[in-house]
Amino acid sequence: LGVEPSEQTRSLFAQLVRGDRPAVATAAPSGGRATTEGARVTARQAIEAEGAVESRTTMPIVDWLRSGRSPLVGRDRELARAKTLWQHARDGEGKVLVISGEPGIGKSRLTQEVMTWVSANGGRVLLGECHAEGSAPYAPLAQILGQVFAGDGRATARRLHLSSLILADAVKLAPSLRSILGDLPPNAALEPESELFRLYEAVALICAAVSRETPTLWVVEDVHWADSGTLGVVRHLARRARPGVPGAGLRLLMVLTHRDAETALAQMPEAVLSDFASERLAETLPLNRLSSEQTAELVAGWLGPKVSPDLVASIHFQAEGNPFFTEEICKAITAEPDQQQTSMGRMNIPHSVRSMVLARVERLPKPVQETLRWAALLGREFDSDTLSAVSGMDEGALTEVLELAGRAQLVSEVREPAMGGDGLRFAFTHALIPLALVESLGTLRQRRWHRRAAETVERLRPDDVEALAYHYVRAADRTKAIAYAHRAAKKAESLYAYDEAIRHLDTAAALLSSEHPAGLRLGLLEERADIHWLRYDWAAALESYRAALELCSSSTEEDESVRVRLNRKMLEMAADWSAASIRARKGDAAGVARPARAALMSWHGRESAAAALLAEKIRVLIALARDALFTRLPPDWQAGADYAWTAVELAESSGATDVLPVALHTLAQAQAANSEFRAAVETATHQLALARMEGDRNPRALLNGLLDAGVAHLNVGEFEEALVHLDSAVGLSTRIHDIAAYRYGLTRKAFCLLLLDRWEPLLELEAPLEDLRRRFPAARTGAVCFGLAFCGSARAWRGEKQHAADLRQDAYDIMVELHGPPELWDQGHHY
Amino acid sequence: MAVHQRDRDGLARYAALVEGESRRCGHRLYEAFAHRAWGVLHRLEGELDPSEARLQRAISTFQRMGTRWQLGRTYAELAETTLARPDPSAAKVHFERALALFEEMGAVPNAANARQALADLG
Repeated sequence: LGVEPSEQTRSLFAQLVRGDRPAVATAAPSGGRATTEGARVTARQAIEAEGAVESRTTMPIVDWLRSGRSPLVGRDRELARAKTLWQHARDGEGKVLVISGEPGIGKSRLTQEVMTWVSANGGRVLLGECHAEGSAPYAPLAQILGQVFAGDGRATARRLHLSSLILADAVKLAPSLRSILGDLPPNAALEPESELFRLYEAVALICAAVSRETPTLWVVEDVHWADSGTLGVVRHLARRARPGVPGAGLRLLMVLTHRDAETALAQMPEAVLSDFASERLAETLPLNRLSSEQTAELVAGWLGPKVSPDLVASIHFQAEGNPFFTEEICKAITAEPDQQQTSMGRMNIPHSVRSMVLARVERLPKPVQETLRWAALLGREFDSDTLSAVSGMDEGALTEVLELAGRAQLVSEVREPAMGGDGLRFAFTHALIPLALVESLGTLRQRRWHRRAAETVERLRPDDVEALAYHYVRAADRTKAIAYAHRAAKKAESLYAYDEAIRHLDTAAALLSSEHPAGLRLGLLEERADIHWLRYDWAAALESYRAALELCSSSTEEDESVRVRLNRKMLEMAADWSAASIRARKGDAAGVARPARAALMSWHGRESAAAALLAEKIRVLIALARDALFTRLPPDWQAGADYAWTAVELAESSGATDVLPVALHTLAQAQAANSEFRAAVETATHQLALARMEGDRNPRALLNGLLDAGVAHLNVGEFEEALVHLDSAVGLSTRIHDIAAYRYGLTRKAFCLLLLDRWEPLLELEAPLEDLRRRFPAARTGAVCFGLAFCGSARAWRGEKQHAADLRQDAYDIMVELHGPPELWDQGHHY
Repeated sequence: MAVHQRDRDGLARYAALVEGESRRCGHRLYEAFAHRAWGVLHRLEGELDPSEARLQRAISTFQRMGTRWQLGRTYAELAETTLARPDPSAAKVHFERALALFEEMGAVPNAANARQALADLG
C-alpha cells in the first residue's frame, strides 16, 4: 500500500502470526499489550485444549500471515535486487539468483517475500524443494512439473504446444504425471549422454513455453541437498536463459537457496555453482546476520513495539543476529507467564535452537509430541497416510494433531495438487525442527522407529526405494538396506542421476560384511565403475574395476568369465579415454590398457575362448580393435582392422544382430584409419542398410548408420552423397532430440559445405553451432569448435574480417578450454 | 598453405603425398588440389607447359564439381602462368574469369587482388 503500518496494525499482525485470536477488535492507542496479554491466555488455552481447533478455511488471512511469519527485516537491499532481476527476466533477460547463508538466516523467508511479490505482479511462481533424506532423483523438478500440469494436464500440454516427445521425457522425470497426462509412448533409446541432454532439453522447452505465456519465477529451495540430476537441469536452464541465446526467450528468474558450509549430509553443488560463477550465469546474494537495530525491529514484530532495550540486547546477544534463533527466543518468551519482558535472565529460555524447538514441542499434548516425532523421522516433508499408518493414529485424530501443530507453527500443509495417492502432504516449517526432534530420540528408539517406518512405506509405497533404503539403513537391517540401496542406485542410473547412483552403491557396499558372498561386492564395484565410465571419470572407474578384479582371483570358469568381462570393459574405457585425449595426454590411457590387453590376448588365444559366450567373444574382439586404433602408441591400424574383420565375420555368421552394428562401425573406423576409404564406404553402406531394415524400431542404429555413411562418403570426396546422409542424420537427431548426434552431424555437414564452396548454406549453420555452444558444456560440444572455425574461414574469404576473427577466437577458446594451450594440441587441431 | 605462401619445399613435399592418397581412394577434390599445387610448383621452377597442363586438369575437376571459389583461385594461378610466358592477353582472360567467379561468390579479398592484377596489365 506504500504506507508504514501503525502501532496497532503491527500489534495485531504479531498476534495473528502467533496464532492468537485478538480478544477485542478495538483500536486503543496503547491497546497492544493488554490485547496481547488477553490473547496470549486465549492462545495457550487453544493450543492445550485438544479438539478446540479452528477450521483452516475460516481464517484464510491468518494462514496468509502465518505463511509469512514475521515481517521481513534487514533484507531491503536483497529484496530490491531480486525485484530488479525479476524486471529483467520479464524483459527476456533470464538469470539465476542464489540466495545463500547459514541455517536460520532467512533464505526461505526472503524467497517467500519474492514469491508473494511476483505473484502479486502477474508472474507465475513454481516451487521445488530439496530434502536431505531419501528422495528420488529430480524430486524438486517433479514438484514443479506437477504444478505446471496441475488440473487438466492434457489441455495444458495442448495450450503450450508441447509434443508427446517432450511429455514422455517429462513423465520419465516425474512419474506421477502419468496420472494426469495419460500413457505416452516412450521415446527412442539413445546413447546415455544424448538421453540425458534430451531430458534436460525437455524441461527447458516446457519452461520456455510456460514463460512465453507468463513470466515465471522458478524457486528451488535447499539446493545444497539437490541431486545431480536436478543440478544438471538447473545448470542447463541457466545457460538457456542467458540473453542472446538464439531462440531462448526465457522470461525466467530462477531463485536457488543454498546453505553455506553444509555438513556431510549435503550433496555437492559446488561444481555447479562454480560453473555459474565462471560463465556469469548467476548472481549470489549472501545473507548476513542481523544488526542489533534489525534484531530490535524483528523482536518488536513479535513482542510489540514497547519491548525493553535490555531484552532486545539479551536476545541479540544470544541469537547472534540469526533470525530463526531470534524468532524462537521470541516465541519462547511469549509462552512465559507473567514475565516483565525486560530481561531474559529471569526467564526459563533454552540456550540452543534445538532446545528451543523441543521446548515448543513439549508444550503440546503428549500424543501430538509423539506424532510429530514420527513425522520428523519420515523427513522434513511427509504425507498424512504414511504418518497415520506409522503412528497408528486414525485420520480424525491425526487431523486435529496436525492442526494443532500448524497453529504452533511447527508444520504447514504443502499446497500442491495431489497426484496419485490420496494423502495430503505436510512439511515442517523449518528444516531444523525435524532434526531436533529426531535427535531427541535415543539411538535404540530411532532404530526401532525407522524399522517401523520402513515396513509401513514398504506396504504403502513399495516403489519408493530411496525412502526404503534410507529407513532400513537407519534401522540397521543390513539385508534390506543393501537390497533397497541397490535398487535405488539402478533407478538413479536409469534417470542419469549418476552421483546419486554412486552414493546408493557406496551405501550398499559399506553395509557388506564378510558373511556376504564376494560376488555381491564385485557386482556393486562393477556397477560403480560402469557409472563412473558414463561420467567420463576414468580414474574412478579404473579404481573400481581393479578392485572388482581383485575379488575374482580363482581359476573357476565363472571367475574367468568375470575377469574377461572386466578386462574388456577396462580396455574399452581406455579407448574412449584415449580418443577423448590429445596426444600429449594419451599415455595415461595407454598405461591402463596394457595389462587388460595382455590378459585378453592371452585368453583369446586359448581353447576356452572358443567355448566362451559368443557375444562376449565378439565384444572382446571389438575392444581389441578399438585398443589397436585408439589406445596403442603408436596405433596399430592393421591389427585394428584384423580384429574388427573377425568381429564382423563372427557376428554375421552367428546372427548376433545386437553387436553387428558396433562391429561394422569399428571396422569402418579401422578401414578409414588404414586409408582404405573406399572399403569404409562399403562397410558404412552395409551398416546403414541393416539399420534401415530395423527402421523406427531402432532410430539410434539408423542415426549411427546415417552418420557413419555420411562421414565415409565425405572422406572420399563424395560430398553430395555425404550431404544426403548427413542432412537425414541432422533431421532425425532433431526429431528424437539426440544432441550429441545433432552436434556431430552439423559439424560434418559444415565441412562438406566448406569444401564445396557453398558459403551461404555453411554460414546458416553458424547460429545453431553457437546455440549448441551456449547451451551445453564445452566438454560435451568440443567438436563445435571445428564448425565455428569453418564458418570463420568462409567469413574471412568474404572479407568479413572482424566476424571471422570473432569466430576463430570462439573456436580457439573452446580448444584451450578442452585441451590447454596450443603447444599441447594434436596436429589436426591446428586446422 | 604452401600454394598461398609459394613455399617450394612445402609444395614439393605435400603435392605428391596428396596426389597419391587422393588417387588411392578416388578423392577428386583433393586430387584437383594436388594438380593445382603441382601447377604452381612447376611455374616456380620455370616449367610453364607442365604448369599449364596441371592447372587445366584442376580447372576441369573444379568445373565438374561446381566449386566456384577453387575454380576462381585456379584461374588466377593459370593467369600467372600465362603471364610468365609472357602472354598478357591470355592472362587478362583468365584474370577476368577469376574476377567474375570471385564477385559471384562474394570473395572480396580475392576479387580485389584480381582487379589489381587486371589494372596492372592495363
